[in-house]
This record gives sequence, C-alpha cells and structure tokens, in this order.
Amino acid sequence: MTTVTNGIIVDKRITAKRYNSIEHGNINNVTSIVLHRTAGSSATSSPNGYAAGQKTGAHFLIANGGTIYQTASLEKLCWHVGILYSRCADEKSCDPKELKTVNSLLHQKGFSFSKRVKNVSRHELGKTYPLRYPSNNDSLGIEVVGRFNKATNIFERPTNEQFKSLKLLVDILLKEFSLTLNKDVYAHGVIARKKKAEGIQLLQYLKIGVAP
Amino acid sequence: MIKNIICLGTAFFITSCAFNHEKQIQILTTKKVVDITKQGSKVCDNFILTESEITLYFQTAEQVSNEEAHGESIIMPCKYSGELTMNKETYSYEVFAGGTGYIYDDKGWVLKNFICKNNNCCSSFSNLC
Repeated sequence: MTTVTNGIIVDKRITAKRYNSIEHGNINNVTSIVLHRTAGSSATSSPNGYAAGQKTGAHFLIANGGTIYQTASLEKLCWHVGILYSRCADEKSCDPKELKTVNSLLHQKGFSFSKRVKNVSRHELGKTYPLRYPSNNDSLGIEVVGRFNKATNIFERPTNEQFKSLKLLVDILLKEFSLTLNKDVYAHGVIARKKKAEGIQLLQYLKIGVAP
Repeated sequence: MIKNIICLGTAFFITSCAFNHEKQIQILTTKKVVDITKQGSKVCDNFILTESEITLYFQTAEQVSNEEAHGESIIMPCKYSGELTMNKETYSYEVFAGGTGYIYDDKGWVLKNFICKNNNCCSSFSNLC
C-alpha cells in the first residue's frame, strides 16, 4: 500500500531522506517528470552535496543497488531542469513571429552564449506546459546514479535494479498526479541544455520495457 | 608604495589560491565540433578558440565537483575537443560554448570539470561566461 503524506511517499520501498537545501518554494501543479543522471559514480556524492548546501537537486535519487531515496517533498520545487530549449523550435511548430523571437534571442549581439540561451529559457517560462518543456515550477526530478562516458558518448548503463526501481517510482508518480508516460515523462538531455544523452536510456526502458 | 605592492601581491596570491585551476597544461590537438541536430547551432559560427585560448581557459576556469558541474553546466551544441597533456600525462578534453569544460581519462570518464564563472575566466572569455 502506497500513500503520500505531506509530500512524502509512504512506501517501504522508498526511503525518505529530505534535504531542505534543494527545496525552493511550493509546486502548484505537477505536470511532468524529468529523468536525470547524476554524473557521479555513487549515491553518496549527491546527498553529500545537498548536505553541504548545494541548491540544485531533484526530488528522488536511485542508487546503483536500486534503493530509492526521496530527497525533497513532492510539494516543493527543486532546481533540476536548467536552461530550457524552445519546444516549438524543436518540434518545428513555432508560428513565424515566435520563431523570429527565439532566433533573435539566440543571436542577440553583446551577450555571451550562456546569457542568450538563458534568455530563450526565460522566454519559454512565459508559456504554459505543454506548450513549453517542463520547468522547475511544475515538474518532479528523478536522479539515477551514473557517469557520462566520452568514449561511448552515453551515460553508463543503469543497473537492472535501477531500471526496476525507476519503473516502480514512475508508476507511483504517474498515478498520483494523473500523468501519462508517453506525454509527460522526459529525458533531461532532450529538454534542456545538458548532455544530449542524459536520461535517454531511462526513458527508453520505461517506454519499451527493455533495458538498452 | 611598498605597502601597496605587498597588498597587491597578497591579493593576487589569495585570488590564485581561491580557485582550483590547471596550470600544467599543454594542448596537443584541437578540433571544433558542432552538433547541427541541436537548436541554436548557428550561434556556433561565432565560437572560436585558439590553442592558447583553450590553455588559458583551463588555467582560469573554476574547477568544480561532478555535482556542481551537473547542476550548473550549460551544454551548447558546439565545443572544442582534442587531447592535452597535464602533468606529463595525456588526456582528452572538451570546452563548450556555454563555458563548461571537461578533462577525461583514457577510458572516457570525467576526470575534472570546469565552469567559466569567476572573474579571471570571465574577463578573458566574456562570451563563455
């Protein structure tokens, strides 16, 4: 039996280990789930960072052995998304005026590359989901421990235990917030300016049920 | 005058020690890589780094933990990539237009993460900051 009490999932398979440093205000409405990789090799490095006052982080962390930690309340927003891509530009669905706006922000003279993409991201936040990708304000983040490898250009393969735990957790969240797997669960590298491969293996597993 | 020089020298010493940079780096190869499948790749036309600038990047950018890099990095669709020597060992590297850089070991795992966010780096590379 799984219940949610004050933003914490009560389930013997999920360990609550909340860090105030990564909680930043209330989430009004959860619309989506974003799948992350930690870039570290063990489950200790992320919580160590949180405990030391790190402000970025996600709501859940899945260790190599499959243990699921809830690190932030479902009622609180976490800074886990970063700089958003323009969704309509990605999906080639922008109207001409919107495309012109996005391009002018991207090519604005006198600004650094990061400032320009931050401006695009800020512009996106003026839209409502799902016209834009999920943001910190309306999504839950799940971190799965694993490092990026430049030689293969992907993150290390999650363990079978991590895959199984991810499925269990995502199923609970989809039900709790009435979300759909095909529309409301995203790989981080697809929606934000992060390593392109981040979260892809996780989403693939959830959608086709086979570990890559 | 002497007091001022001592103060300036002390300030420089403290600033140098405040961030962890890489001093013993020599760039061996470099190649610009643009991912044209990602949004905004046309901005990469203006992203140009010479070998000496890449060296300066690693000497001035702030070295950060995996977690900090993961949270703060901005990965643009263009980077300079290649090999370098650090303390007489050869490694591969990447420097992205968003100001994030990595040094990898011979197996491709991240060895060091860098972000251009401190005054030293930002004053040298205003477009990466």
